[in-house]
Amino acid sequence: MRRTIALLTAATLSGCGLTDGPNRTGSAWLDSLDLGPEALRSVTVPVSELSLDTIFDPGAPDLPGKGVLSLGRSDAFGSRLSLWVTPSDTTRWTESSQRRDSVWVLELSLATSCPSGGSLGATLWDSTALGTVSPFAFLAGADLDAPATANLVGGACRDDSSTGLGRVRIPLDSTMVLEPSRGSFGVRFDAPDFPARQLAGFRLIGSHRDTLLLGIQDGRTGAGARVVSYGKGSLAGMNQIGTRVRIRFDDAALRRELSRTIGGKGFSSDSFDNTWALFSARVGMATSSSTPGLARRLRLASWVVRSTDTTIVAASGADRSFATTRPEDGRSMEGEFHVRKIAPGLVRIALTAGSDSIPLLSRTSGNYQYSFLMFQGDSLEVPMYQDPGWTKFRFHYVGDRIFFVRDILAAPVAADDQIESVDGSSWTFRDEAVVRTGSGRGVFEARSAFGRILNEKRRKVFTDLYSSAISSDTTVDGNFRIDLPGRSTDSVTFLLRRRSLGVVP
Amino acid sequence: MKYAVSILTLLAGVLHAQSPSALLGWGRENPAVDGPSRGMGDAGAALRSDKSWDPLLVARSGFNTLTALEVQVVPSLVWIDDGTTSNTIGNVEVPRLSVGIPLGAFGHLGAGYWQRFSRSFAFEDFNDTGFTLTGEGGSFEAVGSYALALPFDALRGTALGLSYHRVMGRDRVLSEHNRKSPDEFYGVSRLDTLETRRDGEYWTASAYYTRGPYDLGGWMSIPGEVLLTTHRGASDQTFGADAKRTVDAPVGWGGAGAWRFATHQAVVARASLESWDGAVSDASDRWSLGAGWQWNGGGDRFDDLWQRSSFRAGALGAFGGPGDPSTAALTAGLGMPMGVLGTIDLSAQVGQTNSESHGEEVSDTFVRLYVSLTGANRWGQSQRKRR
Repeated sequence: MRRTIALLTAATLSGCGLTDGPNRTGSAWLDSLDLGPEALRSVTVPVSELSLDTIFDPGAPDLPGKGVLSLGRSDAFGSRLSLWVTPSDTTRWTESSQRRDSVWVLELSLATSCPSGGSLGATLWDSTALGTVSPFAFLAGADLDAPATANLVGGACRDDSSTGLGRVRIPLDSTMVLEPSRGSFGVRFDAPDFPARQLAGFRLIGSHRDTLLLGIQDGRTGAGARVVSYGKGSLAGMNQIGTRVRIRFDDAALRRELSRTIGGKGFSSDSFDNTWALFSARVGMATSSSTPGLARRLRLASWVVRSTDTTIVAASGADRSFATTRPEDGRSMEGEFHVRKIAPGLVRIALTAGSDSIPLLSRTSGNYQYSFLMFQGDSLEVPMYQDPGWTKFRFHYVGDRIFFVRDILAAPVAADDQIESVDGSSWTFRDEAVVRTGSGRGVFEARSAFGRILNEKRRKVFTDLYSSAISSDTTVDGNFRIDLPGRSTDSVTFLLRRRSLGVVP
Repeated sequence: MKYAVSILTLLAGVLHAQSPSALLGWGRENPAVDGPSRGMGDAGAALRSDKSWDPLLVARSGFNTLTALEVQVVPSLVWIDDGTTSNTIGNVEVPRLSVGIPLGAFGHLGAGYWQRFSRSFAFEDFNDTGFTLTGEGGSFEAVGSYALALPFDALRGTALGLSYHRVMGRDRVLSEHNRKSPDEFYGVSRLDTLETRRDGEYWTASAYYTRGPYDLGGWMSIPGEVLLTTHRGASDQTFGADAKRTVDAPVGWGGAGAWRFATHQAVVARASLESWDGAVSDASDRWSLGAGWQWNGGGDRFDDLWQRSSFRAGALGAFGGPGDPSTAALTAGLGMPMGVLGTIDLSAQVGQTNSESHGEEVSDTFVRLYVSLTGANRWGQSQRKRR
């Protein structure tokens, strides 16, 4: 027995002792079968964009005109705020007297203190004056040929002594009597002379304490309020928030260009293209102008909507939970959201504290981490962080039911490690690229974002270019601006290897 | 014994360096032959025996009289050469485990594990680009069989057999490419995985005839289906759901014969054809040929060991199949009785496998040492009665 075991063991181990080491033979043979190491290829290709928008919120999707309420303009950013008022909706009147009152003021509450200087005006359009233009088109920022019903002139912006937040009052036309029988009308703010600001809310106040609430969306656009931004392709800092540039790259053209340049058969399905293993994607970005003294970090990250699910909850006088389960991964999110009808046609939706979901704008009150009110007919988007990443929760209040639509995003791509060359001979490690005044150009690494852009064929890839502070400038506040000359990037230099892993057929 | 088997099985799992040619088709194929056949050009399937079992030509086992357990281990050395570089690697595999139980007039039951295909290999790029390619696992078969020597006088010496082959196993091909840009702090690693799982079955029918010094056998496999499930994964990449497709099992037919001449000698031959077109598109059929000779020792336990041992020699060749590799080898073997422990068969195979693609060639010159332990005895009889 011992001899047998010794013999077998010796025979077995004989193969090990004579091994040279790692096998390095067969490179050419493997390459000929399209399975080998193949040298990395460096290719610089132009990139084109399908769309370029300035937005506020991370996450996707971002429906046109939805998001953060804002108005006014800066050098790089501007927005057109459109409101639609329906006096016949009596659920929005806070007093039941409904007196014929001709002294009405549109009050805008800023999310910040007043800017220094600037005036705020608006135009008012009766539904009859709009003619064939629908309220939806008006809200979506459609240009109007018909003359306005009235031009409104706002008063000075004043900071509230207790909160420090700015407030602007704009008297409506004195000839206009506001009562439930009055027809609908729209108010539009282009506000070219008012420094861009984020809005917290607005309402119509009568002289006899009647108030007509237009929306209580807590700084976010709703069914009766839309914001269309100007200044596409610019990164701008506003108070509290900054804008970001949302880019839809022409991924199909990019794939075609890479295939043309590198050649060879692809490794592709209807939904995904896995032809390339990406080691580097250096994005070249020209900047036409930027704020003097500016040094900003830039990030390029991407999102993909992986799935969408809808939950419907009936509103009632008591708190009811949204019993939601994500079909995508079976995770249960029950009890995170409560809905309660607090008045006819008005519900409060609240996110309970300690939830897995984290709102972009958190404001804890009691057991509620975040809450907002919705009128019947309102439609609201709320950016939310919920594992695996930023997403957008959409709420629609229709009849007595709340439709909760949740978009599950593929894990967001973190910004890639960046290196800024200091003097050509040494380097400094940074998290993001830095764009400096006068450079006129930024180059940064975006392999993860472009890896996803190339990979995803069927699903839309949302790519955001955004700025964050550098170490000496820890806040996003303040006015900064980086203008891109009509496009975000001019070319990308890829370092890649054609992926051909497989077995020989 | 069980410790030895455990150690060898463990080592077989650890040592997996092999040539990249294991990428071809379903992997490098191990013939299923028994230990003595390894020394006879893999051609001894028809040579009458009292304990051997062949998962294809199972009909032969209808004449077995001994309950047998066979374990094969094969350490090997492979010299890989591509015309520019060469490398030596070692490997250990357990190609086969089997057990056979004779039931007297009721026939013979057999069962075995056959590591038919092996994907094991390891490769690093010659230019040290940070690229590595490795393979692991393979496809194996669990085989159950029944054979019956026909009891009719008119058909004396004839046996029929049927074996069921369950195709199972998983192999993975993994690549890793590491790179560090000179202007970046951290390197980038890109990993790729291709995993293939197989699940299927097929049957093999066989017939065997032995009369006087002649033994003849043939088999034909009934094509069965194998479900291939392919899973892919890669760094920063999303793939669709696992791809599933059904293919034909690579099976075929074959025949073997033996002529036992003089007192102790025999010559054997074997030929078989595997059809690959249904398993891998456009793949050619694979022919396997072999021939060998054996001097079979005799005597009792008091005779000299060498007089009781068997000596074998042979040659084999295999041509075609996915990637069209060709293999040719010479074999030599030695079978030694180990008393109540059974026999140990040591077989050496020296040969070369060549594969050429678009003018690029890789050749594997191999030396394989098959160590086959066969424990055989009569069940149900006391030691005294056996004597």
